[in-house]
Amino acid sequence: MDNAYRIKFADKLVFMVCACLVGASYWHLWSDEPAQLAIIKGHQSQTQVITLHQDTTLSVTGALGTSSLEIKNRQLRFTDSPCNSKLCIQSGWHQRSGDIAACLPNRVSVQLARNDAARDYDAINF
Amino acid sequence: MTLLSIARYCLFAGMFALLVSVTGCSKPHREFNETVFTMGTLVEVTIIGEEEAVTDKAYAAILDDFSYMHNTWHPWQRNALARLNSLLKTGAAFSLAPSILPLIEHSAVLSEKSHGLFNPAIGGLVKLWGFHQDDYDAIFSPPDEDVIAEFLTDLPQMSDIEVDNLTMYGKNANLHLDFGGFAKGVAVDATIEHLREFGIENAIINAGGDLRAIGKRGNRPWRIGIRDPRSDGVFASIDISGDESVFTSGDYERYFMSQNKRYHHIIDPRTGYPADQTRSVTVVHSDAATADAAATALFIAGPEQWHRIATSMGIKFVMLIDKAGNVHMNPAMARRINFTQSTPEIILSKPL
Amino acid sequence: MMQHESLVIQTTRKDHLVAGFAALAISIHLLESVIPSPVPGIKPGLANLITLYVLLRHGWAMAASVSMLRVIGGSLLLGTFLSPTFIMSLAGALASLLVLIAAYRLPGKPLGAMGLAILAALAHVLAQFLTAWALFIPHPSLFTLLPVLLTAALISGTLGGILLNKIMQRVDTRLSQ
Repeated sequence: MDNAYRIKFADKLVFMVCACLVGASYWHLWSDEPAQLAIIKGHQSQTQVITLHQDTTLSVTGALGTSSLEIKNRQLRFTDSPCNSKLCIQSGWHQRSGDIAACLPNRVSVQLARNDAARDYDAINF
Repeated sequence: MTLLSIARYCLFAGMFALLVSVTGCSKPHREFNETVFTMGTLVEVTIIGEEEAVTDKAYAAILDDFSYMHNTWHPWQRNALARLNSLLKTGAAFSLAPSILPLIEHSAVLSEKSHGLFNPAIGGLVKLWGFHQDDYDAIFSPPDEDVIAEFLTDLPQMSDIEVDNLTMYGKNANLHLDFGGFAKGVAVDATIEHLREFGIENAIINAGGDLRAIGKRGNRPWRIGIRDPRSDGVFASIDISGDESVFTSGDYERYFMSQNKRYHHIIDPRTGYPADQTRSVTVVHSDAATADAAATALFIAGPEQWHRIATSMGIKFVMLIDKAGNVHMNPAMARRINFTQSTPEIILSKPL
Repeated sequence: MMQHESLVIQTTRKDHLVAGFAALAISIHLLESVIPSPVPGIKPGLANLITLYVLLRHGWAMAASVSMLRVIGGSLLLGTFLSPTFIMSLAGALASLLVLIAAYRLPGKPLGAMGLAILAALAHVLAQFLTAWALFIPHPSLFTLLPVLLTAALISGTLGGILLNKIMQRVDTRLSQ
């Protein structure tokens, strides 16, 4: 059995490497771009895409009942949901591209995204 | 292993991590990107390589532009255009409306070059079909064919408007100017010019899918995706740089179904009915106003006549998808366009 | 009069140890479940420390037992058995266990408690995250949460490892008295 319970060289090495990886994960995975639309999925794969540029409220049918969403000032939040924990409501306002707000028990999810198709194009003509 | 040395290592590792993450961002190609709901559609503005002070001011200025233009040129609201339209119908002379004269003159030229296919004077016909309403939930039905036939007997043209120094008058009681197929292009041109006044050289203004881009995106051209008329995906892309507009007219933009037939908003002035030979037309041209009018005119011209009209309008890059789904284009466009998945069969025309 | 034969299960000292450690680990697991988390079900792997301790002092077999007992027992007590939370917990525990055993058996045993704890915590969180992504929330943008979770794991692993070192020293001192 190992008696010297000290921090060894390898421990420090592991720490440094992991710290760098964690730091790099921020850079790679965090984008600060504001979202332009919301992709809303209710149960039974119903999907609607709605712009964040007009303030509105809407309801989405889920597995347990109806969740209510509010869009204001290019942000979105859950205002009501038939779940027990109401974590979705507590997650508050979302506005960053890539953010998701979801009510898992009700199987309703909202993903915020931008207009351009995965940054492959600078603009879409249609 | 003291607490101090642990703290030192943590600090070092943390700074290293920060360094790694920060090297990803670079200042020179700052991108400004905003989308706003105006002119009845979503308008996206992208500006590259300018500081916040410049982009914020420029953006605020063009937001004002859009509001003003939307209100002034809306074909059916109570505004200067409405007054002008009511005066035109009377045939009496009235003094020129300075905010609208440029639109009239420019569209008159384009109307002639398009052999009358682009015709903003047929607002009355648009109204018969119900496409003048902003309300998308309204109930639509095709108008009576006798009513349409009667309208056609004395079809209003842009040439029915006479401008004489400081006054103008109309020569056809059915005149009603609807710049729907043109105002977006003019608005985009005006706002691009305004951006240029701020010293901005690299930008895109994308008004509901129709756009004009100046300069380039950093050190490469702007990459524009073109959406498939029948699905939601991007099926082709084109690179533009310098100063070019890409405009598309489609049968899917505004339409209603009646007895399983699709009636869309691009009315052929010759028949009084929606042009039904085409699904979509994409035009690349320098200024947006011409591109907008051309996209409309070429849509109406259809697979048989688009080449003739494009020639007389001076358009150099056209892609037309006819009602069967066949893709027509001229050789210069074929050289520029890239298809994202399989390349469809292209019907190449003579050069433009 | 009938002689009732009672069935006695012979327990060894090892069983007692496992039971004791498992109870400890489950307690910590229950406490952890109270802590709020951005992705429900993902917790800093504090209970991993128990697994690590058992690994260092009593070998990988006992560590594995304690870990599995913790996951199953904890979920039975919390009422989350076979729920998404349970599956993520299981994934995390399995991943950190495997990583721990592999890292511990490196030739020369270069890693001490801190290094092992960091690796275990990161493996734990990564596995839980990937499970959540693969099975429950397959949105690519879930990845925005990953850096935060990894940071929490790094910190709890580091501090936990240092703490474990101190505890081991104390235990050694006590045992040699």
